Amino acid sequence: MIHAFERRPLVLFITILALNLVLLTVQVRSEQGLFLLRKWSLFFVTPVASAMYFVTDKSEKTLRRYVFLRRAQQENQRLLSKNAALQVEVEQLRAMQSMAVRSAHYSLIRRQYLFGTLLAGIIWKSSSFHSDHFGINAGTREGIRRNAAVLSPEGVVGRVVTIEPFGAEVEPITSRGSAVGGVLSRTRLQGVLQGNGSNLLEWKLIPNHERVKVGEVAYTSGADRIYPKGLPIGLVVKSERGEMVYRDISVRPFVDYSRLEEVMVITKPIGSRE
Amino acid sequence: MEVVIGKTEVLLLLVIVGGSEIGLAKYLPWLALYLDLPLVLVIYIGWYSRPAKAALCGSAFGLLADAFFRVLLGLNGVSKTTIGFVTAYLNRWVLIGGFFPRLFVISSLTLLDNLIVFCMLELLSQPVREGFGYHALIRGVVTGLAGVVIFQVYDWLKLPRREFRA
Repeated sequence: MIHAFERRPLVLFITILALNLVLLTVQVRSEQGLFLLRKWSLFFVTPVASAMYFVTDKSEKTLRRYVFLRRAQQENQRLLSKNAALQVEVEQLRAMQSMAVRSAHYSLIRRQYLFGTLLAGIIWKSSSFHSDHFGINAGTREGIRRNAAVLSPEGVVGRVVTIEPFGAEVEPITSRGSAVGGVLSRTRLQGVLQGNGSNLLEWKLIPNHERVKVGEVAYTSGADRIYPKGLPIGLVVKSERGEMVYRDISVRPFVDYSRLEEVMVITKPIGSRE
Repeated sequence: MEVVIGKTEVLLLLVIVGGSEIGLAKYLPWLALYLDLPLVLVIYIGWYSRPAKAALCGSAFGLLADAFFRVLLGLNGVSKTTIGFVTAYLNRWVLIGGFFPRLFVISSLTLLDNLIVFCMLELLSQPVREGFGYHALIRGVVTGLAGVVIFQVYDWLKLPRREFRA
């Protein structure tokens, strides 16, 4: 087919450009709800990324297990001591939980805090300057739904934006256009934290007269109905009087996205009727 | 010297680029951010191919890059189609035998690629991240340097050895 255009390359060039432009416009329109093209592309990328992840992960683990055994003894000791500490912590939490269960008053709060999670590995990360999304090796088959909250032990990571049977695409809270409902630990001041594509979140619409101190911790407020209440988001690193009515507040997320390897995805809240 | 790049070779390169992008993003994210591997190969194919083939390959590599970078499909498709097409014509007027001419041409084409992406984002009213110009400059230098090395390796693999003995 290409030989037909050898003498008229400009025609082919313009045709390809036009097709690409049509593709772009379709997607931009679909931002209101139709994500078919992005979904299809994820469908093709996921198997490749999964295979790569499987091969690299297995090789890495084999190397660590059988080749780099030098630190195994030290590591074993460290893990044993950590395990003992964790057991104590588990007992403490168990005691606290049983106390909470006794009180019927806390039943509603329990429903907000207890949720089912699924551990998923990150199989690809967008290396582009224009996107910071990443893919995980769990999808609809594992019970993950669109807009499911994605967490890590450090705090909130993001939410699922596109989903496939074997994989899903996650949008971090730091992405431009993403937002999370937050509450400050000390003042209990609530608001919306917005991502701007950088490593910091912007806390907007907080009036200048409110006192927000640097070093305060921001937790999820649960108001967005995506992230459960009480999960750590980040630390206030900047709080200055704004030029207009609102304060200029920046929050640094606890999650280090460059070192993230596994995440927890909320499958469904325990006790929910869904 | 004529270098022939066949369909199978292009398909193989597409697979290699896909695998490399995933590997780089996982193990060397800073390099993945600044190195545009699909672009280097589009320039190479464009340099040794006719405009029609160069445009077609540019589009294929661009769409693959879009799928792996998780950006709007067609964004790199447009830019890399243009780069492939331009490169195929550029080789008629420019010679890139040495290190610096190659570095200059690849870096300039990388900047042009970034400029097209920027224009497309503006045209589609999509947000452009802060520091785009700074990022594009570093990307130009890194891709240029990597491109020179990849060109050298590829030439060594593809071109027949010259025999100077009588």
